[in-house]
Amino acid sequence: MDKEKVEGLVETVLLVTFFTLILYLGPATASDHRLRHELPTGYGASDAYQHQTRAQAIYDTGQYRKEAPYMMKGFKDVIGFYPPVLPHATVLLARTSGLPVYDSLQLVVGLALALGALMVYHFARSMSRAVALLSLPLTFFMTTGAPFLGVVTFGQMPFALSSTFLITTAWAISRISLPRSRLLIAAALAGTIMTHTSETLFFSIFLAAFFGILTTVRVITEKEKLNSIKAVIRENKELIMALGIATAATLYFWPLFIGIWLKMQPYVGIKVETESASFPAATVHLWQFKLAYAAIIIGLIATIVLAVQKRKELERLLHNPKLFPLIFSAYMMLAGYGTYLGFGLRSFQTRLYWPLTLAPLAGYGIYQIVKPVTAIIGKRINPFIATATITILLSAFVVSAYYEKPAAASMPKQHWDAMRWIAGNAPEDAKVWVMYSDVYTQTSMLYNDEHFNYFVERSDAADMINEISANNGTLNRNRRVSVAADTGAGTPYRKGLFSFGRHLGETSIFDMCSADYYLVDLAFSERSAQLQQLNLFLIQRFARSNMTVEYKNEWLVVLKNNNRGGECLAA
Amino acid sequence: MRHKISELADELKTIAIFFVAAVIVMKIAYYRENLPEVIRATASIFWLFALPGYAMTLYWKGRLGLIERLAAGTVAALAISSIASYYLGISGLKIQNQTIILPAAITAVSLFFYLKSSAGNLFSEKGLSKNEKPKNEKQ
Repeated sequence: MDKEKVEGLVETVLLVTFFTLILYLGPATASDHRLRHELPTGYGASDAYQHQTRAQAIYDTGQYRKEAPYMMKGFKDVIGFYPPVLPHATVLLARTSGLPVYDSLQLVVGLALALGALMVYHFARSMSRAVALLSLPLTFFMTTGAPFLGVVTFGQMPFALSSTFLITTAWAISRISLPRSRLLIAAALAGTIMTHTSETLFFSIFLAAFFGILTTVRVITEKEKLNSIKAVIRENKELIMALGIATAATLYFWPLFIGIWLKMQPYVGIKVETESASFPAATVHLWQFKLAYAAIIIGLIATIVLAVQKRKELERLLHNPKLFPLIFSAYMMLAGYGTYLGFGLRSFQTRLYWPLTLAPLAGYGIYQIVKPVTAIIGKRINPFIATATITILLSAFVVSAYYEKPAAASMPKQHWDAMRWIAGNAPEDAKVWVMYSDVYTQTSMLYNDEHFNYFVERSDAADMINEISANNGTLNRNRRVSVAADTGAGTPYRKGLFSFGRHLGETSIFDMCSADYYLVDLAFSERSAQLQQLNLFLIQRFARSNMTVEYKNEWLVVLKNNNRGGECLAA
Repeated sequence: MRHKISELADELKTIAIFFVAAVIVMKIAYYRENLPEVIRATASIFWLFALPGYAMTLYWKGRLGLIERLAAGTVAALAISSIASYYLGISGLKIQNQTIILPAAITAVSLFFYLKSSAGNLFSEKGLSKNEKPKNEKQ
């Protein structure tokens, strides 16, 4: 077998091994190494349940014209506003494989991580195979429980898939010299647009900066100003066509994004955030890469040096497969520091994918260190084999020193069973009153009962306890409670092709006796004894008001209100 | 075109080997799952995304390595299939009725364009031998 075939075989084996390990150590561990579960597993935050239940709703209806009313405070006209790619990929897989939706979602996101690592390798490979190999060890950080695997467990799932599409877009640009590369670029870019559009915006900023600087320099330095602009367009024709194709393919979604998302989450200007207020547990800092931090910084410095040396080639950056991966990787580091420029949450999110997006920088940094070593030993040993060996050793070090096993988070089965009982047995328009439990602090999990939910927060429960105690057992039936709903986009409904209204004027005082069903926990920890007493008190009053127990397990009861609107707290 | 079809037949054997490898990878990662479930999940991923992706990237056969095409193709097919599924769903064809038609259509259309195109015959058309790589290829 000739040398090239041997190297090709070794490379293939290495890539398959890395793919397997990333899947094994990360997403598969968060799923307890099973594909099928009795209840959602690997879900550790409200956002995760939000994506799971949205996908479930699309599975149930077969389409995504409207949001499920039970996620939208009962409104039936809320347009399906969330970028649709992730839930549709999930539902297609669920329908084909027979896996529950919550397991299909975990599998899609897990594959996105592992495929992202493969694409980063091939992206870096346009520089050299050695740099590509040496970029692989950093990707193992993606598998550590916190913060990086938070993309799965904390529900940053659309972001993760969109970032894999973004890396693939960058890879496709590095292959821009291929005929019809516009199709590859367009496919991946369309993926970012309709999965999690903030990645498209970061990419657009990169392109705008590049084209802005390029055009400005050309206009200033060249005599024929108009011709220089035409030259820029001509030289980047393939990319411009790709942008056009991607925009056309996603045209239906653009009014939704501009009319809903940009209005709800506009850019408000410079604002410094050093910790993520939205995801404190998922705030990433460069120093969290520990020793790999040095590799990234060396890579960044080497990139700057290379860019200065090859500054005349920068105007053809998008056609330079050796420079572009490094500049793009450096840009993604900058994008993560957009937290100092008012990009807050979205910039913090990009940091969660730093193990992949900064991998070319890290690989290039390590390459600067090992290049002299491999040059010496390469006289005796095949340099590719030497680099592969170094890659394996570094990867083993990263995993042994920094890997933290992610937890296979899930809600208690008793709560899942109760919610699914309600989903299957309560009439469609029934409303559910949910008493506080620590289990429901990630409120999006309540959508799994597929009904409108009033949720008594812990502070509201404390008010009830105080009131009962102060008023000799009397409790006002009108209570301040939350309605479990995904109102991040403001429950928009379509008014015209490009205009949307929002359901406003929500109230927070509700009649406790107006619900149809009551989900009440029986079991609490010792330090929540008062909450347990409150719930037992309420169950007693409900029973005296002719409510009936419709479902019960050792942890909770579901009662049916047979006198809706009437007395429900009879003494 | 006959030449392309015979090359296609050869590559399909490689795809079959990759499917077996994918089952092994999935069984290692999800070792607590029973084998039939793993095979079904892997086959579903292949049917929905990997095969259509492979067909979509056939145009660049000879320019891109097989693993690169499989990975990029799977990612591209994830995007294209899901976007198409969304549009079909809001147009009236529910998702449960798309699982056969959609991947089959993407694969068929991609294969059609590949067989009709002049690309993919890089080695024979451009006069390069199989061992000689175009400039963009492996270093």
